[in-house]
Amino acid sequence: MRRSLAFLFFLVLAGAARLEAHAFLQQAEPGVGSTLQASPNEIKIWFTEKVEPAFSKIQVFAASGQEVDKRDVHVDRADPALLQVSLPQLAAGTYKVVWRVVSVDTHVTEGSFSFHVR
Amino acid sequence: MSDALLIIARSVQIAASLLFAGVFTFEVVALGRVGQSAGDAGHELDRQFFCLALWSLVAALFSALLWFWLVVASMSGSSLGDALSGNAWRMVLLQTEFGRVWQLRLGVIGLALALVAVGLLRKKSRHALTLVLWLLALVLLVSLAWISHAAAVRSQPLGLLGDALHLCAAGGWIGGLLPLAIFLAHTGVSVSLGEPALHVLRRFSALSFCCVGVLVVSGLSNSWLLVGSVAALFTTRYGALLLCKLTLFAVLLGFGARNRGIIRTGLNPTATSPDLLAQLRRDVFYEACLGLAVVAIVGWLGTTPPARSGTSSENRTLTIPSSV
Repeated sequence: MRRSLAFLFFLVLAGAARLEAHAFLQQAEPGVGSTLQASPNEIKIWFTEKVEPAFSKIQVFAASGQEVDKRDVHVDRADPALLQVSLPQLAAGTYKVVWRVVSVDTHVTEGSFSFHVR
Repeated sequence: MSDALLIIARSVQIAASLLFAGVFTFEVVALGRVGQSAGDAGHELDRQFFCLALWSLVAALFSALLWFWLVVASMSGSSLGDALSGNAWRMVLLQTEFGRVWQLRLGVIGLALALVAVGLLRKKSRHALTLVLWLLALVLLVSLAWISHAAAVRSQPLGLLGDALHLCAAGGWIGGLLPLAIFLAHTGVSVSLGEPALHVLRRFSALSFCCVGVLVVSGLSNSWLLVGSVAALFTTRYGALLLCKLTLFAVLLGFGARNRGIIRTGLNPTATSPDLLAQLRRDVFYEACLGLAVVAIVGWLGTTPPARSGTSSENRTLTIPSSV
């Protein structure tokens, strides 16, 4: 019985899990470090878990440091792990996306990435 | 500073919720009708249990307010001094999952405080209140799962169910140790335990045995969800804390097994050795201390990123030190 329990314990810990308990960036559009031929209409970031809309945000900055997004950050109604913000027509250049989200277990995560428009 | 405060707030909140649930689980499941038929001694035992419940609720209330304050500061990115002066606390309370759970918890704590106060003032109403308070205690305990790591996982309802069961089992066993100590102090006046008292101890022993089974199964499920690999146990802070918790849990099990042996075979309704009874009381005290240490680790685990988290982001910063 003890051996069975120990084996079960090992199996459980050794098995792969697909769980995240802090919201981290899983995927972004435009992609992290990507180069685009045309200005994107919006920034979409998928997180590893659902985020709190009231305290989650995305900001997009031009190389000059000016914020260029439309400040309409919102969580997708169908997917609570998807945060998005609209963009105006962007000129060629490098842009920095800065995000800060709060997950439902109250943990705060933040990060940034860049993309380029030709 | 806020990290340490948060760990303290979480630990006190969890410990108070476990104790509150443990008191009434002990009354309903282990004590049963024995308490009612024990006359004045039974009423005194009831009064002490209600006092214990009152203090656990006071601790739950203050730690809940502290926890809420720290979360508002963390979510809004403001300092602790400014956290409650603006609109952020309303946003947290009304617009977040944590806030909604907190509304429920504060409501339950308020209602339970009122009922416990009634029970302390009117001893005839205590029996009727016990069942209601037991249900409220379970709601208070289970609602903790909705603000834990388990709430954020994608594998639902497994995450929430596992955590809720884990909390209930911990409440039944660890939370019941202090009521058990009080009960033993009452029965320990005489060397002769008496059949009813022995019956209570045996029922608590059986309850604890079931709780340990639930704790092991739900603990394995939670570990699968939050740790993910054996390597993560040794390479992450979360894993190290979990190993500490498992070590303490193993020692707790040792004490529990010894007590179970004493209760099942050593105690005699008419002639129990005073040494054996003293050992049982000592073991229960050690168990309670170890249980408190486990709860402190659980409070710390709640502020630590799970071992499985955050492997997919190329560019991220986790701001746990300044947050929750």
